Amino acid sequence: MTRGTQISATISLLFTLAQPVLSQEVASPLETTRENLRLWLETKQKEQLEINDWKNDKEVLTLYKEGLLKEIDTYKQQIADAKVLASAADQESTNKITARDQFIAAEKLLSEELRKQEEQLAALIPLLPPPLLKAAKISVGVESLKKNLQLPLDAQVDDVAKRLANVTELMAEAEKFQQGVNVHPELHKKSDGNEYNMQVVYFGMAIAYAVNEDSTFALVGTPTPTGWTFKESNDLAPAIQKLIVTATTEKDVSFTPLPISQ
Amino acid sequence: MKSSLNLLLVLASACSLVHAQNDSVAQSKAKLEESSKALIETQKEQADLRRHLYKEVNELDDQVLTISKELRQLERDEALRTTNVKKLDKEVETRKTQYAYTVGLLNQYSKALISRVHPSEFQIYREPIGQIDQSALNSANEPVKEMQERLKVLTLGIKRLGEISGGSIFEGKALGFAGKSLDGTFMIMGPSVYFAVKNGLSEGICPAQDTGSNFPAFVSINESGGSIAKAILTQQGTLPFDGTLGKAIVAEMKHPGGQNKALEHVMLFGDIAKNMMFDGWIAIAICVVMIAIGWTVAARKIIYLNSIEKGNRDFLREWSKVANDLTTLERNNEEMSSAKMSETPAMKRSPFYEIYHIGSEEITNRIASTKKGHKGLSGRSIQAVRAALDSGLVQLQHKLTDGLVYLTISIAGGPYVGLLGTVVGVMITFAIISKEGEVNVNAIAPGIASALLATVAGLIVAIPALFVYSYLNNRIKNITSEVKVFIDEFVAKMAEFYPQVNEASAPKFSNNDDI
Repeated sequence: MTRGTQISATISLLFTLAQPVLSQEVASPLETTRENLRLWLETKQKEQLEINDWKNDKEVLTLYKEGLLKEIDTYKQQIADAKVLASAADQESTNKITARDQFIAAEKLLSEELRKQEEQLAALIPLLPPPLLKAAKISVGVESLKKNLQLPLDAQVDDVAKRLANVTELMAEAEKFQQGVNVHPELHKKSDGNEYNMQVVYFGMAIAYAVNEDSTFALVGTPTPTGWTFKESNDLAPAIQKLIVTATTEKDVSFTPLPISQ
Repeated sequence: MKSSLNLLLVLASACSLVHAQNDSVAQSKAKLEESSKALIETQKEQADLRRHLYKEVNELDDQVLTISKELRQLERDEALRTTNVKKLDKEVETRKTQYAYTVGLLNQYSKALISRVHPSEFQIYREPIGQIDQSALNSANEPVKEMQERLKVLTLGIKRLGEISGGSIFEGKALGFAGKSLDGTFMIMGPSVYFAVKNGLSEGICPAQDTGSNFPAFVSINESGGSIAKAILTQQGTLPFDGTLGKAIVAEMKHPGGQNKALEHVMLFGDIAKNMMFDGWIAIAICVVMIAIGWTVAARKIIYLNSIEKGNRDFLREWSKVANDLTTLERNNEEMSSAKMSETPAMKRSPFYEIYHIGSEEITNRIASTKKGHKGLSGRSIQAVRAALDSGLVQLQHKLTDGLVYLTISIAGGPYVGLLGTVVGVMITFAIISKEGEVNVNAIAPGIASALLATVAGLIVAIPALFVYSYLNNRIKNITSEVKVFIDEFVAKMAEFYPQVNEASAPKFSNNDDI
């Protein structure tokens, strides 16, 4: 039996014994006592309840606090990680930006230098032999080159890679032409005003010899800054005819002596 | 009393009860107050603790909120940064690709340029292009610097285009005969490159074949007569142009100065012999032995026949002195001979001389065996002398034809030995081809050509041997015929000077008093 129960039982016994004896004025203290005891009991119960509540609350709050602390730790760790990551990412970004800037600078340099090369190459265009200039690849390339040169550097239609490809292709074609003995039919005017279909043999970009079908009209061609010029040299017709036969049929393989200047 | 006492007791009890009640009320009140106070204190204390704890929790909560906000911000920043980095990445990648493409174009052009220039231009362009490539490679991590280096190739290419247009001239070195380095001047006229040696002693053309060094090969052209050097020096005059893009140069290289083409064919045998297999060499070795024996025999036989023909001529010259007086043979043969004939060493090798001595000896012996005073020969004796002479002829024939069998063997056997070598060689060539599974004329041709070399060797043995054999045989026949004629003449003379005993009244003498 608990102490509370004992107290309650004692109080009840006292009230039972005292009730028949005491008058109206006597019952009042008992009542009061009872009331007090009840109130005391209630108070004690409340206190206990309060203690229990606090205990529970404390436990819950403590757990919650611990959870929060853990969460804070986790967040802090995550923040630290994120900051490290951000720092690394910043470094990476910086590197990438540096790389990008370098590529931009290289492209700018290429664009500027290429412009100079384009200008120099454009000056060499008249030196290219006419059959080479008429070739589809070259004619398109030359046209593109001229267009690019007409526009300012920052308003180029073609990107720098395309311009560079065009320049290298033009040069490559010219170099290939230089490597060969090229025979092409061309129309040329004689001093009498008549025009003849002639076989023209080009020794690369150095010199050209032309002869008509019946070997009565011959020309020697050389490149000049304004283009190729052909000078009449009819006495060379038989030799040029022989050279063209050798070049086209590869019969009678031998050297043909021809003048290099007229 | 008792009752009073009892009453008193009751009253006392009642009073005490009342007092007790009053005490208990007071006590209960006190207890209540105490407990109320305790409750209030407890409540207060707990409220304080709770408040404190809540405060802490709230603070932590706030802290969590703040930190989480910060974390979210960082996460948002990270996401943004990731997006930006990705964007940047993409941009860098695009620029890098474009950069790599442009650098690749320049690099490709650099390599193509060196492959398109003439070997004579290597000494101008190979080193700078190599340096540019190396510098560009060293600056691979610095796009601007690398681009700067690579662009130099373009400058070089454009400069070259300007120079080669209309022909270009430059000083340099070329490799002459046996790789000798020659200083001189080049003139580039398209694909044709001319070179004049510095001292002016030689001029020619540089073919487009790469020699593996920085210098081109130089083929001297003798027919140009100084025109190349003059053209290079003055940029005027004539140059020999090759319309076949190098074939004329190749022809000039093969036959410098119009060298005989036959020599080229002979030299081809050297190439063919290189591919010869062991069995072929055996056949050729046998052929060589046959050639050696056959030609030795032929040489010795020719020398022998020459010597006996010379002896015959000498003998016939002396023979006329004794031809009309064979009776002198009755006397001492040697004395007679030395008296009548001037014998030379060549004459002693003559078959006529041998036959003459056989006949003379036989006659002497037979006359000596007959009765004294009888200087004739019976028919049987003459036949016996003739038989002895024929025997001498047969011996002579044996001597003349001795060794000719080696030539006959060469004629008959040489081609067969060669053919055997060829057949075995062809067989092995085909066996090798079938094993390797390669059907290529370039793989078959050398083997077949080498195998056929054995047949050539066999024919080289047989054909000269055939000609020499025919020649020697003809000469031997002629000599034999002459000896036969001489025997007939000798017998006729013998019958004339030594008639049969019944017929002979007296021996006939010539008008020559010495005999």
